Amino acid sequence: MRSTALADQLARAYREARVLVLGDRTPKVDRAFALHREFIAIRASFMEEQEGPISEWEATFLERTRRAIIVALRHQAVAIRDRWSENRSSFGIEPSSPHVDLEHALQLSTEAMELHLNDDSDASRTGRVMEFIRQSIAHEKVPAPVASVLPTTTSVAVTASDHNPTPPRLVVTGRGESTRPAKVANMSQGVPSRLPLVTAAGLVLVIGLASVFMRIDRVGSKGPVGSVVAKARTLLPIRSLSPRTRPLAALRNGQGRFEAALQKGIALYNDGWFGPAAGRFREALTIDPRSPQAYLWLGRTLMRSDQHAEARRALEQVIELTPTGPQADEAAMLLSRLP
Amino acid sequence: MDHVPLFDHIQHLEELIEVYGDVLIAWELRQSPESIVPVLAEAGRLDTSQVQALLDEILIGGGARLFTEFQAIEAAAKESENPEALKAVEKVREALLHIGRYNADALAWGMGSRQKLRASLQNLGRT
Repeated sequence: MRSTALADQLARAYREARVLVLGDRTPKVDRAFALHREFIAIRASFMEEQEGPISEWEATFLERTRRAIIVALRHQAVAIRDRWSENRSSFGIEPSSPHVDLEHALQLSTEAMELHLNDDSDASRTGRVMEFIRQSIAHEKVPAPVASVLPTTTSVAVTASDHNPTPPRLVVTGRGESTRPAKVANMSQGVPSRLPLVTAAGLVLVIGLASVFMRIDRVGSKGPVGSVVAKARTLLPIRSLSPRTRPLAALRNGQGRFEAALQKGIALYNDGWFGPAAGRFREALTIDPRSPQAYLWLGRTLMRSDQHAEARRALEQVIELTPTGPQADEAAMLLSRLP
Repeated sequence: MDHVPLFDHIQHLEELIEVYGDVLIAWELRQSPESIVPVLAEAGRLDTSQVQALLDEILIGGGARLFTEFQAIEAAAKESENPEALKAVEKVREALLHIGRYNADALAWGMGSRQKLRASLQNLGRT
């Protein structure tokens, strides 16, 4: 029989798992992550041979706690996602505040999935939660709609469904049930609102072609033709005819987003949130795929979360991108530490 | 009970104890006992109707019934002299001790709340 302290820890973990589910719907991100970490530690202690064989009751309670924690992590992930959805629809609250970070939701649902065993009947439910949160993250990357009646120069590429500030609430169906009706309902909502954009896109194409063939971009704003063109430029989403300034602006924008993602990742890393931190570094790398700095941070983070193969790949990228210098030295040092 | 195989009875009592533990936590959180049904069913081992039936048993009999049942099972296991049965009974005893140890406050609070239990049962629309 093991020490009472270990049994106490297990009992507390079970209880905390139930509290996270039965309590109010406010997301409790820190507690959920802490609970997962605690359970992993308790389970490891139970498995240590020197503590003696595990009793039947301990095995039962360990298993019960595992199930309770999966349910708790899944609930918290959904609670974060629901809060994010509420915030997004309220327009006044910052959607990326710490308690409604969808990366946390994804991390929690991933941790829940990792706790599943092969014969768990609710593993598919966890999988559906993960997938739904991934979809929400994809949704989040699209900026919220601007309250303007005039289309902007970039709105052509954004679909109507992307503009929907409140994606559908999560409906977790049971085994054998289909989510198809929800998707069909969604599509039917999206189709009519897409039509004006399609029409606008068609007009853009026509005007664009006309501008090429008639060289109307050289027409000034004076005279009848000029006034028509000027009006068209104002009302329709015509691509800017002075493209020289766009790459610089885009670069500045991308650099800003890269820095923001990197800094947020570093902050998460320093707080011990390695999963969400890795998500931020990957996001930074989608903006600048040749940044040795982002690869180095990703490598460090993946090492801390014991994802050695991925960490190795990231660190090798650092050396490939910058073969000499302090970053390469650190990457080489970290690579030498990997098992 | 006499007509139910001993191991089936032990398993049933184990499930009752699991539900009872969650009922006590729900009480402490000032949640209705019924709120545990979807939570327990969500783990997938028991379905909603099974949890609901177990909850009904708890609400009718209360915690005291679990101890009475345990005593009966323990006596039957001793009588059978089956080592496996005695081992299974030991596991149930530990589960009951766990409830007593970690939910003492709720147990004390729950002892005086038969009225609330009855009201809960009536709300379920069952007799």
